[in-house]
Amino acid sequence: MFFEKNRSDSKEKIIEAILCDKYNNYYRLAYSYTYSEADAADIVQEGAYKAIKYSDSLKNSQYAESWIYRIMLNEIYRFLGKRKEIPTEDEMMPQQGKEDQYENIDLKRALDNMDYKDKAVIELRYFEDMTLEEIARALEENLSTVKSRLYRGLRKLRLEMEDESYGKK
Amino acid sequence: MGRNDLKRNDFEKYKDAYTEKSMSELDVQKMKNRIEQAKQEKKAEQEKQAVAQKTNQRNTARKWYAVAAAAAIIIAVPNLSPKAAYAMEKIPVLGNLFRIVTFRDYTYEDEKHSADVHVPEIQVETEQITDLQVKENVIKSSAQINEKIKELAEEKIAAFEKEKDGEGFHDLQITSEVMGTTDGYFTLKLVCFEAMASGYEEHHYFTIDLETGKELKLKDMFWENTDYIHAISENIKEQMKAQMAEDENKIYWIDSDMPEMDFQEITEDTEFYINEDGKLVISFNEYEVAPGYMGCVEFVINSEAVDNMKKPVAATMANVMQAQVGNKEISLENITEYDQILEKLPAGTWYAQVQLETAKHPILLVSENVYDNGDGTMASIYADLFAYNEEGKIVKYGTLESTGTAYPLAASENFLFQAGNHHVSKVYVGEDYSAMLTKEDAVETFDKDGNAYYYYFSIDDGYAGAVEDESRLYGLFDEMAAAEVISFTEKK
Repeated sequence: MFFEKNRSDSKEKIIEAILCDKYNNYYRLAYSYTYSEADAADIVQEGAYKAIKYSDSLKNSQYAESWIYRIMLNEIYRFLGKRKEIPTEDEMMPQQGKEDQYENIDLKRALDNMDYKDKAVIELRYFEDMTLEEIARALEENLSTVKSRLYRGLRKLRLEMEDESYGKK
Repeated sequence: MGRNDLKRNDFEKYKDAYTEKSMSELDVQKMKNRIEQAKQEKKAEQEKQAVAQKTNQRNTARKWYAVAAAAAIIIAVPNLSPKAAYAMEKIPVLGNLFRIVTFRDYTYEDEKHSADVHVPEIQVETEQITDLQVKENVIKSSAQINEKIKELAEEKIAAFEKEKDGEGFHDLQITSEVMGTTDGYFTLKLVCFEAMASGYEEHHYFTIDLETGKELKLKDMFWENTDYIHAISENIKEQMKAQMAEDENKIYWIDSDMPEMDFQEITEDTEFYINEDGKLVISFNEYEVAPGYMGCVEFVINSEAVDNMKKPVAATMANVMQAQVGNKEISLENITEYDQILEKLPAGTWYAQVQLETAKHPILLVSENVYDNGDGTMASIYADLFAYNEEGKIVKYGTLESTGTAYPLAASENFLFQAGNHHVSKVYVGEDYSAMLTKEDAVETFDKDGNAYYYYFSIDDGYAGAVEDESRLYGLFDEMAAAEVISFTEKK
């Protein structure tokens, strides 16, 4: 109501453009939780629908990307909420022509057993190359919370990445 | 290779596997279809809203003109001293009394900063107010409200000016509108929207009680010693839970894993207004009780929640040209017979006509929900009330509402009854007055510690205040029991 119509239209355009450009990013993020192509696609499709439908609730088009990630993460969350257990890849029916399974069992298990948001921080940081500020917006948390998640996640994975140091000598 | 390097290696491999995943063409097409679907649905909704808004604006404008035509008789909250005569006082109507002008326009536009601010100011034509005390109060309260609005706006404009030369993005919008509300109140809504890193919207409501001329505060609507804060807050929490159960996309801060952040209680300063049905609406700004994406949220407070705490409204004026019946808005233009109203309503609506002794015409009650009162009578606890006003036009005066099926709406020779477990209200529409009047109203209410208090209102005695015991209340319960349960007929 309090937005001019053309501002509203341009937001929708921006969102659609981003969706069509980055759908695979959302897809692979979703797949890392669902291990099912169908479910991951569902999440991206539903997320895209909501992003357009509720485009007016995007306050600042400068942050459209994180805003869309937020929606996708909510869809992932909803999916996780509906399942009792996080599936392992072995449980899922063999995907058509998918030989490139995630190889390392320990690592995958560690990621799967993490808090879903801690996992999201790791993946968004290292696989999607998002800044911590962008991740904070996507998770709707403040920066320090995101940092704790990151370090907690890394500790769990027992890794030390180059640019993170968390007081260990 | 160190252990760490091994893990790094695995991590890179994992990343490769992760990055390889991609959507099939079919799924990408499905996504695009969903996008189109969303666009279509949005367009359809926007068109619906545009029509509704236009109708609303037209209605509000019409209401003011129509009210200007009739003699306005307004007695809102009985705050007057007992000796004040409850004789009807003619007060000038909204259309002539208040005017909103723009005190200040502030606009600015560059790449990263934009401001679109219209600061409203309430102006009052006071010569027409005959009661000197009310006149003085109106002048004071409108000045106070204007001060508050200016302060708010100036603060935001100043902050904006400071940021203007900075790098960050800043968007500021301030706008206002006069709210549709029941007669007896004047409400101005101020909307402030600000966006920097993220957006933030706040709504402010300023209401003047036209009976006293003073600014209406939440506590003015309730008897003393009633724990309305708690009752209202509990009702809101119930509604939040219900909404979340129904729609998984809604989140309110209640029963969350961060209880310190949860919504606890409203305060006396929580934003509120009275809507067109005379119901209390509580308004929360963004981030007050829910995450930002929920926006500003509002809750209409159920009557049951505050049934025995609210002070009665002595007189409710008629909403002349339009009437809300259930979910439908029907126009009362050119309506001279009740049958014409019934024609406009869907089959399955129920109605009853009640002839009070002192009235020239019968009253029409319309209800959507009835129940068998045990003896085959179809009774109701919620009905819209229509009657002829002093000009012979059919108007909607308001609604009758009981807060439990133990108290079906009833009528005696001269009065209509509505009640709840601790409350009885006796009303009527006389042919002399263009209002639905409360003859008597009694409540039993309890404070936080469970102590009982009794309040009583009587139009004849000119009394509105505390009484010693439950005798008045029980007297009214007896009267109601002796009255006849109103029997509704189904419209085929």
